[in-house]
Amino acid sequence: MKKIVKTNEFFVAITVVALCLFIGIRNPVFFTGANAVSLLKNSVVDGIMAFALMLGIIAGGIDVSFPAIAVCSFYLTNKLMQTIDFQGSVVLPILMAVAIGTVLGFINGVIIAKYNLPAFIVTLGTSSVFHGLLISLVGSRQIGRLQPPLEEMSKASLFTVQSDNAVSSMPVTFIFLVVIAVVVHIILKYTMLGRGIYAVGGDRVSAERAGFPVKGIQVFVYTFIGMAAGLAGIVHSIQARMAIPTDLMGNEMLIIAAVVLGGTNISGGSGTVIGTALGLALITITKNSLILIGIPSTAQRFVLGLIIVAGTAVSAYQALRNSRKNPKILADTDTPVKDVEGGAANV
Amino acid sequence: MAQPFIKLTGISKSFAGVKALQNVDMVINQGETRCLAGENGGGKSTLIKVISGFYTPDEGTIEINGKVYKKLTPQQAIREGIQIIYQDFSVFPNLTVAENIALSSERLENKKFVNWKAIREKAKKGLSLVNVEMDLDAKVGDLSVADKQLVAICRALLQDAKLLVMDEPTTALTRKEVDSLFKVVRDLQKKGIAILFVSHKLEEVFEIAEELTILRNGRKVIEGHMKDFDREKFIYYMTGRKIEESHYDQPEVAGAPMFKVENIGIKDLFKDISFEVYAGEIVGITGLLGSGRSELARALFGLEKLTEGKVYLEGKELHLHSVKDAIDHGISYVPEDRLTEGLFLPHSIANNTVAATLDKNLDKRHLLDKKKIRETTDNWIHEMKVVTPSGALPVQALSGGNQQKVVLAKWLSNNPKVLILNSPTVGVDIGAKTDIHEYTRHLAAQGMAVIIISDDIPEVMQTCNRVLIMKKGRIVGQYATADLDETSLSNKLSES
Repeated sequence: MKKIVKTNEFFVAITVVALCLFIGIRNPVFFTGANAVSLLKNSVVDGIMAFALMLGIIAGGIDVSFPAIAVCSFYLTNKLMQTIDFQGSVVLPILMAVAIGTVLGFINGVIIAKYNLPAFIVTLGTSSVFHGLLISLVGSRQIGRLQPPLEEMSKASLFTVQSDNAVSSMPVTFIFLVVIAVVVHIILKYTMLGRGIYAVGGDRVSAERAGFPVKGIQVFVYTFIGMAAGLAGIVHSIQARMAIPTDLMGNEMLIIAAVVLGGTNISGGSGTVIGTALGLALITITKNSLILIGIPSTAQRFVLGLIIVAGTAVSAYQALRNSRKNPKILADTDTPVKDVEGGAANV
Repeated sequence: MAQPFIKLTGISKSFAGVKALQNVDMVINQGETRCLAGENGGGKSTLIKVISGFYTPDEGTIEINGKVYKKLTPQQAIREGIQIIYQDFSVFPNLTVAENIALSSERLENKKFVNWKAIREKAKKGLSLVNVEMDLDAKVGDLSVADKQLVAICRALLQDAKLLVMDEPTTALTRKEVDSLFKVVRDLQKKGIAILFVSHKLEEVFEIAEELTILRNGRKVIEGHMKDFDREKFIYYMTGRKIEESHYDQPEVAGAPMFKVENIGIKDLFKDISFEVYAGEIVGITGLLGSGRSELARALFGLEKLTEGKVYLEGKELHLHSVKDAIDHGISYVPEDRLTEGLFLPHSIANNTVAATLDKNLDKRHLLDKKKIRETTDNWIHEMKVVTPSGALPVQALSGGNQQKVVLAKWLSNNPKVLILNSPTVGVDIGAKTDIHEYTRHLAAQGMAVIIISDDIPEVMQTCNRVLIMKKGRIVGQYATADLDETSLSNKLSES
C-alpha cells in the first residue's frame, strides 16, 4: 500500500479525481454518462499519439514531428481516395495512412540513430519538411467530404449513451486507442525490446555495454511513433469528417505535456501506460470541461498552461526530493569527533 | 599447472598517432587473481577495452581458451566469459535490482519476452553466488555505491563469467566495504574464476593479487609474482623513477589565520566543520568519495549555501552568497572536473585564462583589450610552463596536465588570497603533476593560503603541511603530515 501511495501515478490520479469533483460539484452535467463518453471520444486522437510518444520519451528521446506526420498521412490518403473515387473497404485507407506514418517515422529514426543527432532538432526539422512538402506539393485546400467508406466509419458507433437531454455515442475508432494502449503496455512490460527502451533511457552507455541494440531501439521507437501518428491522423479525419491540412499542427506540446504529467521522466528511463492515461485524462478534461463551469474557451489555454506548470513542478519536486534523499552524507548518529590533534594553532 | 585462460601476444594500439599500447604481452590463467597496475594514461583502460573486444588492436593476437581471435567483438568476449565491472558499474539506475542483475543474461540467451518470475529467480541465484541479500524490487539508483557494485558483479557472474575484470573497484568504497568486496573476490577465485584487478592503490594490490603486470606509457614494464615485489619496487616500476617522498614543511605562522571557518555545515551534507589556514600553509582535506569533501569545497567558494556556521577572511566575517562574493574577496577555486566545471573546451587558451578576470582586461572604453589579454596569457603560459605553440589554440587540444595548468592560471590571475584546489591532479600525467605540486608550494611560500581537497594520498603527503580527514560529513582527525606516512594516513582514511 505504501508503495502505491508513493508512485507518481497516485498523485496524478488524485489530481484527476479532485478536478472531476471540482467541476462536477459546480455542474452536475459533468457526471453524466453522455459527458464521460464524449470525453473518451475526444481523447482518442491525442491518446494514440501520447502512448506512442511515451515510448520515445522513455528511451530518452523526443518527437515533435508527429502532428505533421499525422497530417501528411490523413491528407495524402484522403486526397488519393478522392482522386480515384474510392468505394472499397475502409481498411485500405486506414492501412495506407498507417503506412505513410510508418515510413515518415522510420526516416526520423534513421536520421536520429545513424547520425546520432539530437531528436528534438531532427524532428523539429522534419516536422517542417513533411508539412511543408505536403502543402506545397499536394495541396492546402481542405477536403470537405470524405469518401463514402470513411464517411460511414465515422457514423459507426460501439454504443450510445443517453442522459437527460444529451446523447453521446462511442465511435468505433475508440478501439484503436485501446489497442495502442495495450500494445504499448505489452511492449514495455513483457518484451526485451521494451526493457531495452527503459535501459537506453536509463543509461545509454550501459545499455550498449549490456548488448542492447541501441540504434535499433531508437529506430523502432520513432517508427512506432510515426505509425501511431498515421493511425491517429486518419482517425482524426474520420471523426472530423473532413481533411484539413492545418489541423493538429501545434498539438505536440499539449501531448508531450500529457505524457510528462503522467509521470514519464522527460529525460528518459521511466513512464507507464497507466500514468500517461491519467495525464491524458487531466489534459482532456481541462480542454473539454472547463466550459461546463463557466470558464470561457478563450481562457482555456491559460488554465491548461497553469496545470502543466503546476503538474510538472510537482513531479520535478518529487524527483528532487528523491535525489536529495540519496546523497545524504552526514551520519544520523552524532558520532563524537575523535583524534583531533596537531592543528597549526597549537603546533 | 594452471591452464591459461587468455593470452595476449604483441598487442599494439594507436589513436591518432599516439601509441596507447605497444607490444604488450599478458597471460591470465584460470582462477588466478592478477593485478594490472599503472599510472593514469599508462594504457590500462585501453588494454581492458582490447580484452573486452571494444577496441580491435592494430597488431597482436588474443587467444582465449586456445582459440585465436584476430578481431574480437564484444559479443564474442562475453560468450567466452569475459566480464568487465566498469568504474561506473554500468547499471541502470531506473530499473530494479532484479532486472539489473538478470536482464543482461536474458539478453545473452536472446530472449524476446520478459518472464518476471524467471527474472526474480535468476536475480536470487545471482545474489546467492556472492552470499548477499538485497531487496529485489529496490531501484538501483537508490542503492549505495557498494551495493551497486555487487549488483554489477552478480550480473557478470550470471553471464557465466570466467574472467572478471574490475576497473578501479575500490575508488568509492569504505574500508569495511573493501573488505567484504575482497571476500567476494576470494570466494569467486575459489570457484575458478580469474580476476583482473585494475588499480593503482598499493595497499589493496598487495592484499588481493597473486600476480602483477605493470604498464607504463603503453608498455609492459614488468610482471611477476606479487610476493617478489615490495612497496619500493612497485612504485619504481609504476612511475619509472625513484620517488623522493618530500614534505612541505610547516611554515612560520604568525598573527591571525588568513582563512577560518567555524562550525560550518549544510543540512544533510556536512556539519561542525572548523579549521583555519594561515598564510603560507597548504592544508589538505581528504576523505573518500561521498565523505562530503567536494560539497565542503564547493561551499567555501559560494557554490553551495551554508546553513550554519561562520567564515572569516583575515579576521573579518565573510558572507558567501555567491561565487562572485568569493571571487571579490580573493578566494579562488579550481574545480574537481575541469572538463565540465573548469574550462570552455572549444575556446582558446587566452579566452580561458582571462575568463574569471575580464574586468581587469578592459581598455578605456570598457571593451575587452585584446593586447592586454594576449600579454596576460603569454605571461601565464610562461609562468605555468604550459606546453603549447600559441595562446590562440583551443584548450581541448592540450593534454590533461596542460589543461589543468590553464585552469590554475585562470584562477591565479585573480591574485587570490585563498586558493582552493579540488582534486587538482586527477587524470594528469606525472610530469605535469610534479609541476603543479611544485607551483602550489611556490604559491604558498609567497604567502597564499592553500586548501587541497584530494584522496590522492601521496599528493596530500607531499604537498600539504597539515591534513584534515573527513568522514560522513564531519572532520574526524587533523594531523601534521610530518607525523604521518602514506600507510598510516591511508589506514586512517579507510577505517570505518
